[in-house]
Amino acid sequence: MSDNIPFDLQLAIMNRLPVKSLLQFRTVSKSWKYSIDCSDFICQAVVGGKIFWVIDMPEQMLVGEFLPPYYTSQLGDSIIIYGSFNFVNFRIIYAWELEVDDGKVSSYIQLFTIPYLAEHELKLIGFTKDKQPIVEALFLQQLNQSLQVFNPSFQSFQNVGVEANHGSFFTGQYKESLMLVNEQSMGIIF
Amino acid sequence: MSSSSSSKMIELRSSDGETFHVEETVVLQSETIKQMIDDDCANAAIPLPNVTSMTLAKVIEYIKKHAEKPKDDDDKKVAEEDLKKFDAEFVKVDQESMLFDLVRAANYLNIKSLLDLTCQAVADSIKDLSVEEVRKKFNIQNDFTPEEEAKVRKENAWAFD
Repeated sequence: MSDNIPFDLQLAIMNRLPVKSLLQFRTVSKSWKYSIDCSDFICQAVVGGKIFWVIDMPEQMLVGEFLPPYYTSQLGDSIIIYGSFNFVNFRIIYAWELEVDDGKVSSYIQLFTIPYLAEHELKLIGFTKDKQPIVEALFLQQLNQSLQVFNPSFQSFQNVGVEANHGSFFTGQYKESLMLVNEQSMGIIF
Repeated sequence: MSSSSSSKMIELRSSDGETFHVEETVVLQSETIKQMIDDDCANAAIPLPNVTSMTLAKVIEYIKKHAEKPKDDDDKKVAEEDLKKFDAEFVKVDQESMLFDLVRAANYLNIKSLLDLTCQAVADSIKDLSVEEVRKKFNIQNDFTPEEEAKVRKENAWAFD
């Protein structure tokens, strides 16, 4: 039999290919590219500016109404992936911490959920060192966006006391530096 | 293809006219055939116009092995290991066209575990191939212009590092 494999079976085979092969096979044909680009099993994450990670999404994270886009962030050596569920009058930000091993998610845990009213605006912009989410929030009664740290255990926000316009908060990496202190002159050399 | 068991036998006829007698309990792994039996369409030989005798013999070998029931829990573990080994050997076919035939047959007969096994085997066999080899294998026409293809390749250039 020299019959070809019908496209739906090609798809079934594609589903079992490792991500690296899938990316390479985007140039096989337009229908392959379309199927691969639109598949649920690929998530591209840009971490640290120029490093790309490509990971298989665990199936459990694809069920329900949690739809792309997913957002990604880095926390230590692991990847945080988050997105929000929309309900009628409230939203919930979900965040998972993924351990990535050789392009595949080896394990993941739900890090926190932040429920908030739909009329509020919330944007996750970083994490405190004990993994609590820092959000840029615009609450109804406030004029400006403010930085808030969300405590998942108490489900409460704590105002950091910084206000600014929408989109003006950014986070960067905090680095500790060592200073050489010249003992003889007791001066400090930078 | 005969069996000493008292279970009801079902007759299957391949596309090239060969008949196979398989126990009903074994053949029920095929959702397609199960449906035919449920609909009372299995009184005479069931024609399988999409499956050759060579492929059908192989499929029957698979479902027979997978129909074996372990006697107790100890036996179960051994049986599971044994089945794993069987599956691994099963997809080591001499001719690649046979693997494709099995994928199609598993799909047509709707035997999920066999479809999983054979699709995975095909995926394993193509994962390190070049794009051109994949096209050839599936007889896929390259419908990109050279410019489009270069652009897509550039998009994931970092994936080949």
